Amino acid sequence: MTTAVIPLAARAAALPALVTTTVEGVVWDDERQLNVQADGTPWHVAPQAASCTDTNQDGKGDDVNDPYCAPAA
Amino acid sequence: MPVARPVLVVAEQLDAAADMVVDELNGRSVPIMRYDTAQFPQSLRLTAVHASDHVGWNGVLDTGHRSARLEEVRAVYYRRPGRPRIAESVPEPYASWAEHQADAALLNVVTALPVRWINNPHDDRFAAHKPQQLVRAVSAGLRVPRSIITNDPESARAFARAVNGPLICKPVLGGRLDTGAERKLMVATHHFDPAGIDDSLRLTAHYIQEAIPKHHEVRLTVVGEALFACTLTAASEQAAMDWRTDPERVELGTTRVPSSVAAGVRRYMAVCNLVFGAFDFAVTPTGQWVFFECNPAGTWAWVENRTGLPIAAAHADYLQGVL
Repeated sequence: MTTAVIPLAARAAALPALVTTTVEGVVWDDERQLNVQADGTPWHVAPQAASCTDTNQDGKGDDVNDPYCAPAA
Repeated sequence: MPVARPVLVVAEQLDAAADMVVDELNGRSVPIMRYDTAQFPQSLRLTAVHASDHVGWNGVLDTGHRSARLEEVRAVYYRRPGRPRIAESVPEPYASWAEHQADAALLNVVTALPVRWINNPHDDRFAAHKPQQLVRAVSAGLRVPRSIITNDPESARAFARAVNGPLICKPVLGGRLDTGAERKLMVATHHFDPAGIDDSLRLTAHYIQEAIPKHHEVRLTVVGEALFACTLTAASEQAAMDWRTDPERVELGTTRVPSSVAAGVRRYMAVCNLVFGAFDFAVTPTGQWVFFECNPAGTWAWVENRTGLPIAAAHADYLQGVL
């Protein structure tokens, strides 16, 4: 039986900081081609989380989202 | 009166930076067609035709709500959209095959358009990875931390002895760890104690650097020739190590970029063929700027919101063709 071992660097894994942003009530505006809040103002004027590894707010860390994933590319 | 040529905005739907640029272009009455690659092929229609004796793809992209002629596109703003999604009715292995076909077709037809790009994904990939970034930064005249990437414990110990000072460890690549808990975990930049080196370092590549003493950090957002420098001054030890881990204890401001750093950054952008870059620098107590990394698709909406730096307008200027 193999003993599970965690790589040294990964032992520092922790929950990412929560930033008080919300997408509650945010809807897509097809005419303006952007997201708006419940009061009709653009969502982008609301507080946004700071990151250097995300492209959007999905918390996935998008520098793993390689546009060349397809083996055919 | 001729119809203005459209700008394509290719991004995930919930992307504040894309929203900001769209809003700015809307205010300038520049026609836009925005889509996420994840809409293809189910709710995005592509028809592209190449003639035998005429250079370039002609055809249409159509979401059903908006459409754009490929040959009329003026510029593309591309921010790492989602992957194509194949109908659930398609079984494996045909679904994976279809996804790869869709991915390669849409990506490469659009990137063949001879227009202005922020950033062309071919260039994004070339510039996205930290080991390559260090090489290009030093070539461009920027200072970087002494670094090692290794899976050899003894080499890591030897590096620590050579530095003879504080070290940090950071991931080579971002991403989250899914442990099955409600929230995924993140490996942030953290203090690295060489006394803790053991055989688990052999299990994968480890990226270790000398710790740079910081007076503050700078998120430098570059759009074409325009440089927008946002200072990040940490008020906690945790934020000083990695400001993303304690964002409530970081004070933002603005600053000027030293001319030598600006020149190096522009050389870096040129060699990577980038129009946009989100650079992270440390500024030492003696005022020296030290390059950490440059994300060619980093976030910046929060910088504009909190500092007022006109980053969206610079994007619009470039995409509109006024810069």
